[in-house]
Amino acid sequence: MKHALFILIFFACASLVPPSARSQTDNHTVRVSVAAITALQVSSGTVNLSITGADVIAGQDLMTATDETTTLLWGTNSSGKKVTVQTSLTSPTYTLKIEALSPTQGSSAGQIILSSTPRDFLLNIGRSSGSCTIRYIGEALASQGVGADAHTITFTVANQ
Amino acid sequence: MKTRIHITPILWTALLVILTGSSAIAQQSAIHQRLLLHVPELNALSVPARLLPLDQSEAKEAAAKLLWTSNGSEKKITVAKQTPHPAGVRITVRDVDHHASEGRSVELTGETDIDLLYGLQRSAGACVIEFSLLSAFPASAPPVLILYTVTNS
Repeated sequence: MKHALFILIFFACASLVPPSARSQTDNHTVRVSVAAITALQVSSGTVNLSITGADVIAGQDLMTATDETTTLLWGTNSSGKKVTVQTSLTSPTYTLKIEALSPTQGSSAGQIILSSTPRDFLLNIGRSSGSCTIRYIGEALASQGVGADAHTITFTVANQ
Repeated sequence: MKTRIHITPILWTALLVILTGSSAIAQQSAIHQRLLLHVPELNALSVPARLLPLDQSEAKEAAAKLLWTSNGSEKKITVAKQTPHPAGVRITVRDVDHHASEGRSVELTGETDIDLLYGLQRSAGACVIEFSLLSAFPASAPPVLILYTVTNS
């Protein structure tokens, strides 16, 4: 009972002490860590490219069709980066070319023929976010006949 | 007194963190897009010279080039007079980029389709077509309208 009374008196007195006399300081360390971050996105997951009669010139074996409906968007906080592109098809029937148009950052590697080996698509995109239009050019020869190629195209951010 | 540490849950947690982290990075640095390149059957024909003068006094009055492209199999090109006309016309094919129909000559008297080039197989090419009149017709007569068609053999 004595103890309880003592504790009660102690806290009552402590509450009368001004706040400045009670203040304490402490600190802790906050470490903000930013890992290498890379993000890629395409505006549409599927592209249908069809060669039509309008793409055929009588007397010429080569028939071409172009698609520029999709966009590639990227963001990376690392320097010295590029974007490569490749297709899943090891032996396509027809030729498929690709080109980055009007990149907002970096530079286009120009028109390239897609293959199963990664090829440069965009260069010098380091520490930026940007976008470009993807131009696909499908080429078929009359001698290659009728058919279809189903590609899965992979864009990858890689070290330059 | 020994303190027991349950290490199994810690290991599972660490493994989960590693797998989750590496998967997220992989998804962000590469992306896929599917593309279907479709090539249907396509046929094209062209006769650059649209109007040929026909002179009744010459055996071979006019010549023109016929160009074609077809990615189909077993095709032929037929020819017909599209409108009724009193004059018959002989058409002879020469200088063909295709081996099958060299020197072929057909006579157009009615509006029936007649085979001009045949055995075309996934090809693009050209030939010269020569026209001659089978009979005289008045100079005031309208032009002979000739229709070329790519069709199955």
